[in-house]
Amino acid sequence: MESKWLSYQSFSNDQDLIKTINNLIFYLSDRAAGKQSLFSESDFSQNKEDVLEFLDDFLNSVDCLERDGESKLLFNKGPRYFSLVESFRTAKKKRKLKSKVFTNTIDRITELFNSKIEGELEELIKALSEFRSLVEEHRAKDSRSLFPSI
Amino acid sequence: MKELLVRQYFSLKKYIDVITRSINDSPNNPEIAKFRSWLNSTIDEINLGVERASKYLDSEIEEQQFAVLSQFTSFKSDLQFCDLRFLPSLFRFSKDDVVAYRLMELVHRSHKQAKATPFAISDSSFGIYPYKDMPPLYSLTITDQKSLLHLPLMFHEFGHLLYSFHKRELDDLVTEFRTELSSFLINPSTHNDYKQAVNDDRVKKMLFTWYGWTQEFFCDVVGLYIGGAAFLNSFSYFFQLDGVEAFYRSEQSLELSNHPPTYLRIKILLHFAQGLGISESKRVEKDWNILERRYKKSSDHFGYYSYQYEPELIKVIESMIIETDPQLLFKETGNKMISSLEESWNVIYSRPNEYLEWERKVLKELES
Repeated sequence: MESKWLSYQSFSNDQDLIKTINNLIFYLSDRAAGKQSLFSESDFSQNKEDVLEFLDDFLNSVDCLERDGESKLLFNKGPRYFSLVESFRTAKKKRKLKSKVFTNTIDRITELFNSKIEGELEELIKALSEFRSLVEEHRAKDSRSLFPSI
Repeated sequence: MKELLVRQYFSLKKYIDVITRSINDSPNNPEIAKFRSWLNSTIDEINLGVERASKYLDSEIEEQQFAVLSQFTSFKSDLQFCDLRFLPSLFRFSKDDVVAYRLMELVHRSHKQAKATPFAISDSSFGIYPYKDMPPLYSLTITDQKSLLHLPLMFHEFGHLLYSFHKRELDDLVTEFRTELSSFLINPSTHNDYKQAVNDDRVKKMLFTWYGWTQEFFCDVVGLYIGGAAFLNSFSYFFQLDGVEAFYRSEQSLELSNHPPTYLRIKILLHFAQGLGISESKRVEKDWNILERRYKKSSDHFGYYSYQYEPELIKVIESMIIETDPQLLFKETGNKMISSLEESWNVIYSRPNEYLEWERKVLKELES
């Protein structure tokens, strides 16, 4: 197995995740502004389900890293996924991630997607946006090996 | 921001237009039609995504503007990927590819999950990019495309595609196997922190290495299940002039390597070939015994391999084969291509001096 293929797998996963997060941001921002979204309700539900499924596993992995050290996570999930988990943990420690949304349980994050409480939707959008930036940085490492620069 | 996004929108639309026109200008042979049509619909989907994001070009909400920028960046990468990886395979198509394309079409057709999966071929050493949700890209050298002898090695590459279809289940099996393996590798505490740390690091590297190695062993056996004796002959022949490297590698070259030493792959293949009743395994074994006498320095693989691991390794490969169910291609009788692949080995072993002329004639027939 060539390392480039592993880079591609990781790149492709990041691409899917980024696009899904963006679709959610479009939808949630419309809703927060009280506007009818250009995205359908069913598109929103699918995107929400995909992101929550990812986050559930991801946040468990962050706990696993903090609790059991790096070996277990590296062994089970591979180096590229591990590096995303680690960059999330580092960003949290260095307070680069300002939003506290992802310190909540997955059930609480799920609730936030349908929150009617003022400010909560905005907080969720901010958290998704910060998380997207982290995934974009992660994707950039793989992009460099897939697309040579001039 | 808005102006920048509008400019980039038109730039993406231009990129999409050029790729679409390039696809339409490329060769349109039946062997590549499925792949061509997949590429066309992929570009259409990207176009749809760009259009959808562009609906927010006029948005005054900053987060939405950033999301448009992020979507455009992602779609540009998708287009670049199609441009760099897939478009060249359409343009390089030539009559020399026809046999390889038809052979792999037969393999794809005989496997449930691969049946509808389009694929393409590119020029490079033997390999595959089994992309997620995208057609796999097989590669083989230009000279191997013009010969029958090494074509069965594509069946090993198909094994990687099977792995990707069953990734979750197979990864679980490999994890189980590596856990078994770790019981051989982890020494009891040495009561010396430094030595213990060095040993732990080595073990970690070995277990990482075995993630790739298990997959390679599995793909070899998939090749054997699909191609039978033709695969075994092809595999053995391909590696016979690899010299000492086939038997012995330094610890540094084993560490985190993609492939196990060839001799070990031959050993495992012979085990399965004998189980399948492939009589050619005796000849292959004899050939490798001759090479072993010449090259083998020692049986030490620095702990990366030991005969002790073999029962567990064979067990995990058997489970992986059950899970993926590769289909023997050579049971198809009356197929000229398949019978030619089998016959090629009879000719090379019984009348090697006639082989070139024989192959040229057969290839001409197969390409027509």
